[in-house]
Amino acid sequence: MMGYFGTYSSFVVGNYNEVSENADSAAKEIEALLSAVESAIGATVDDSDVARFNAAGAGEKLEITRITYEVMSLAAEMYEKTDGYYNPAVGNLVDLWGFTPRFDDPDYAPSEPYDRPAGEPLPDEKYIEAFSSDGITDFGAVELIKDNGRYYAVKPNATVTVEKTYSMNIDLGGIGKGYAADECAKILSKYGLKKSYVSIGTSSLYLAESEKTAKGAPNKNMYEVKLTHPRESKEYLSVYACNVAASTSGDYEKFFIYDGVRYSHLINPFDGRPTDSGFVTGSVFGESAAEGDALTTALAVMEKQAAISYASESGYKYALLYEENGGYALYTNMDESEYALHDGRIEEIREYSID
Amino acid sequence: MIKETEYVRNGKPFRPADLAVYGVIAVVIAALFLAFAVFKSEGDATEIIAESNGERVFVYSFADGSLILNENFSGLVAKDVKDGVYTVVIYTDKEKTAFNTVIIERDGTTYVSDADCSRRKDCTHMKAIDESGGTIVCVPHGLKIYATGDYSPTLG
Repeated sequence: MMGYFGTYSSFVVGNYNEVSENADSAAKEIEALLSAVESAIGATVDDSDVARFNAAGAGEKLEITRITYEVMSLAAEMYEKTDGYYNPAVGNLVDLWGFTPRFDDPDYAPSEPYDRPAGEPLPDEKYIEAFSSDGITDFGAVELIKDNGRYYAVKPNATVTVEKTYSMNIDLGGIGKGYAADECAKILSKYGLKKSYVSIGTSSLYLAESEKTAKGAPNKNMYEVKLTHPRESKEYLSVYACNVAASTSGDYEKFFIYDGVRYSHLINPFDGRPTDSGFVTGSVFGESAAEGDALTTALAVMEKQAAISYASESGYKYALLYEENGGYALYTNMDESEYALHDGRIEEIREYSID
Repeated sequence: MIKETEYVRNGKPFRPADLAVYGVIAVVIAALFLAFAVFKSEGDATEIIAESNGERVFVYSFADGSLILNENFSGLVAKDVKDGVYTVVIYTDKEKTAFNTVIIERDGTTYVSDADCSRRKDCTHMKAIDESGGTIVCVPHGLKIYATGDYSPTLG
């Protein structure tokens, strides 16, 4: 178990005794990888590339690491592919709503003009409008340069002024965990660890094969992946899978409730507000955890029907849970044998029955 | 007795009815083998371990409900038991300024009920650990509590 990204990651090998030497080498390599990824893009690392990018002035060119270049390139690709619903350039909005790590600091003290006293969690409209303006949220305007083995990012020129002047602020935390899971998969393969899985903060996984076949699984060597119930202390769904990447996003990770309304850290980049689509949690299973991370983030902020249509065409298996009619509804394109729903109160809506 | 022995000696090694019985037994053995070899089910958690900055603080056993404290933490851990429910207060610094209160229910369900780690106290909102596994982490205090023996990955 290793502590990175403000959470914990684990690497589990099935037949450890048979492959202990390889497993030890893989564990060391995985730990070095996670450390390097966190140093490059970690939100809480003072001199990470992301921290330097956010602190840089508009139009400034910064040298970045290969890891940051690769993660930003993937992020740009997913920004384009999801028509901007996945947008890492909502950093100012995430901070405005109080979901960045500085608010978790025991010594927290207000430092921005928009910081509110305790008991007043909702931000001023003028900031919501300013921080969701096209200029500082257009991640497509970030220029990424690879030149003679060195890597650079150029921050867009756009700024907005509300008491202070602000430029683009990015957060690569979500896709970064998926990137790390995908890179860990390469390490597992390199060391021939076929009976293993790696979990990055329980939101991004890469599953090879299970030493034991999960009870109820349709095929040999499948894991039972237990999906956490968003509101209760138990699993609501088991998904049987192996040799696949998995990612999840949920409105329960960081949130506050004010006047009976839940405000989560999943910010819609188009209106600058926490998603109100009814999305509670969503998981996808497919080729890449990094893509999956960006995909679940995008699905979380899309309107429900748009999200289901988009997920259906994504090539990923999905399980999306929405609040509906005072209860919950699970939308999925998985075959009945690939999952088990543990909560009888949740309505199942399979893809072929969606209008 | 002699007659019986002769009967056995003189009889055919396998009569048709015997073959049918052996066949059924062979099928049952093969089915049981496949059931165990191909569909062995996942194991459940056997213990819950708490670590403070990498050092083990306590081990709770699901088998007998015992809680074993690491003596190195004797001045930094306060344990109370009432009606089979453990309340363990763990101080994660020597000055005793940082604490997490861990509750272990009678069935082993374990969660953090209180802490002074941050404004949101994320660790107190994390899913309880039980025999199906789980992990609770308090990053500011370097405290992690996790189940062992659980091979099922969790998502979310």
